[in-house]
Amino acid sequence: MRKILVALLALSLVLLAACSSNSKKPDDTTPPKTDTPAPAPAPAQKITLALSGEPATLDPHKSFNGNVFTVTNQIYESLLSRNPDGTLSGRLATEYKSVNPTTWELKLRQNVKFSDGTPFNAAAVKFSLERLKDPATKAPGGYIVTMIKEIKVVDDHTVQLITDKPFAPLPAHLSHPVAAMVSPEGAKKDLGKEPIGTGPFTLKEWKAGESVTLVANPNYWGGKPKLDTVLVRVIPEAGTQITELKAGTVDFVNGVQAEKWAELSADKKFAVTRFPGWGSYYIGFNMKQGPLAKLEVRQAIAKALDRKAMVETLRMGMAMEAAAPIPKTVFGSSMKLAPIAYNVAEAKELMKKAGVTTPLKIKLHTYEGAENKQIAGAIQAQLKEIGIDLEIQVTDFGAYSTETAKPDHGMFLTSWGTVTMDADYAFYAWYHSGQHAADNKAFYADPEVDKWLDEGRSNPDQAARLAAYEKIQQRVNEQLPYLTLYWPLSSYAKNARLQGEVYPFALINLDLRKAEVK
Amino acid sequence: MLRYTAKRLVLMVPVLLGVTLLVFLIFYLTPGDPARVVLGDMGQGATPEAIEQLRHQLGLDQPWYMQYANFVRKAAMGDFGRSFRGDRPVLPEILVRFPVTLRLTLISLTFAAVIGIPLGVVAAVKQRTWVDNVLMVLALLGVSVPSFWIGIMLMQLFALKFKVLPPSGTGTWQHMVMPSITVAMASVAFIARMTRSSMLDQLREDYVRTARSKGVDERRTIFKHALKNAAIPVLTTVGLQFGSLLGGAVVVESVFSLPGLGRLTIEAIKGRDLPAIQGAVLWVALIFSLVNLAVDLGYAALDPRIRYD
Repeated sequence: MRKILVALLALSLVLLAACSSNSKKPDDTTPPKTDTPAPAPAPAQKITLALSGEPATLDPHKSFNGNVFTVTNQIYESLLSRNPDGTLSGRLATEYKSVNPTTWELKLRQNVKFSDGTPFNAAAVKFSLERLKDPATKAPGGYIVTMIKEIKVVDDHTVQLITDKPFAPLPAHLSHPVAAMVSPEGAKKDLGKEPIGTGPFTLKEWKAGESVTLVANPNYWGGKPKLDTVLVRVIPEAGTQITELKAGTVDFVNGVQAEKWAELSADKKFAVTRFPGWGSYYIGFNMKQGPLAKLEVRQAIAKALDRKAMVETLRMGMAMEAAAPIPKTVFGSSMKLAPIAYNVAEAKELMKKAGVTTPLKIKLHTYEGAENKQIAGAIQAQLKEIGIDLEIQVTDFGAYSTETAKPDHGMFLTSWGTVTMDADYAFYAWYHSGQHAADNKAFYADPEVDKWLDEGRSNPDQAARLAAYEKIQQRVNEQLPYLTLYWPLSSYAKNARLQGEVYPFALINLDLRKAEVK
Repeated sequence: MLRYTAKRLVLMVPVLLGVTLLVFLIFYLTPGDPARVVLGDMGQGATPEAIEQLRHQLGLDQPWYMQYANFVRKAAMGDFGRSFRGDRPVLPEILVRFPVTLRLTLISLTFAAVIGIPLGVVAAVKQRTWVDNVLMVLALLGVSVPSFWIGIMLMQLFALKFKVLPPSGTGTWQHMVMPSITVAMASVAFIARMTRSSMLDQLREDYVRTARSKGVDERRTIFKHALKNAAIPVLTTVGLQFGSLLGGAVVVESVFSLPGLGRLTIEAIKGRDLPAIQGAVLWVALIFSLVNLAVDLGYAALDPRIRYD
């Protein structure tokens, strides 16, 4: 038996040795030596980004997921892109204009090549958008461009996009990372594994579940990026991400936990930033049946929730108090609405007026995630004050979406990203009576609101669109199909040596073209 | 022996069919529309038509038995299908992830056996002394302390305070140290306790008394005679641990960012990615069955009285 033990010990040593020898190449994930000599040469232009989940593919059309887009948006580019101030600017298109209500014309950037040498031109635009629309591609994000009926090649550097109905937010849709331009030649092979775009970086290596190594594209039309290498590491645990950042093995962590903010911002080695993004955090009410169909009950709930305390005490400043359903950064957000004031006495009055018997049992559906659990708990405690006995049901996102699709669901708590940065994207989905089978889970229906939604969608005049969205927000603020709790802030922490990155609202838009290590 | 092995291999087929059918049924009984999950929270805003079309593209509008029949037909030819979440082939992904899990399992279980078995023997020999008590309390702690906590503590200590090991990831042998210790911790305790109780049974046997009375060296009595006879339950324990660890140590893989099979499976389940779930479960079931067979054959090697023909 002792022989067996000795043999086992030897085996374990051999195994350890084996797994070190098959990966002897220097790897930057080992901790940096603390006693490096002082006169440092120019720093290596390499950064490491932490990503919370594995990108399921590197083909931007085949998925609709933030982890995928964070990587693909470095390799591919869309026709337009979003600036940090909310405006749109040309990326692969240089100009865009509406020729008539159903036709948008785009001038394309010249002398641009995909990383495989294929020229980028009108034919490539036609190919890419048709591929995204084609059911055979199995693109979950195809709905972003389904309104495009025809893509007309006018000349080599001009395309016209013809929509089935007037669609004013089309430019915003074209800026989404899913609407990326892919190499028609590259797409003959597997873009999911061998991505070919026009972007500032190209793929060097993809280790499944572990990391994606990107290197600078030397022929990038905007000039070779300063960073030579961007290593994207999959680190699922938020705690581990922060440990890696502190150890100096990761340079960029997206989304700082509220409780880590003070600690990280006190340390000069790191730079932490938070700012309004595209997110909303809200409750939806079932307006079709049950006690929540009564306006007074919804109003009572709105008044019984201390949203200021949620922002300041629970989210510790990682959120902003909200009046409008979408943050100010998003086109169409109302600047005129005032938040519904916290007033428990009035809330109790409203409950009496509603004529419901207390304690009133209501179910709240939400899905896993620390913030959802925390806020659901706070809502439960605050609603107890006005005689509502809230039953919280936390499931995973899949079960949550099934539960809230049922006609008797009660209430739900969720977050939302207006990913096109245009009110149409959120409002049409939340308020239009034709969307009950999708995201209008309040089952809200108001013919006038439907009309305004269509007006906002079809009128090419931006002022007229804003007016339509203002009317919608005034109306829903009275009827309360949903109650906005706050606008979560976007945030990230980085090693101070990384500079020049541009972060328009969300990680998927991260722009590293001018970033460098100093 | 050969015939027995062949018979066992053939019997694995119904087991695997049963497992996959069960997974299929559970999948259909679990709430959660895969199309909505594929769209995820970022895809909120998709139109009802888009969701319906996606369902069709994923083949979810076919009856479940058709889907299952398709899966079985393809899997029999080694094609595990394509994932819902990125339309990528499932099997290559599993084959990339499996070695990570296998390596973690082999290293940590070897450590656990090398430490756990001697501890168990010592505790048994010194039964009812302070040595035994201390060891068994430690073993109890090892089993009870959650592994994510051990993992985080090790990381704070060795990666941040002493800066001797990388916090997480893979690449060098240093990366495997903390995850292996974390996984081994629970197994050490388990193996030590099993060895102790099995040894205690053996030490009470007549042949041990005989050996002692005729003056056989005590160490020889314990290691040569008693331990050899106590080895079968220990082997069973180690084999079961081996099999279940090969399914992936989800928590440890997450804490230490290891791209193992456990994380793949959990991500697939959360993503309602049926082909990926099926592939991972089928793979684990296959490996588990093979390990069990190996353990059973191992009995014969340890105990000449056990013969399979």
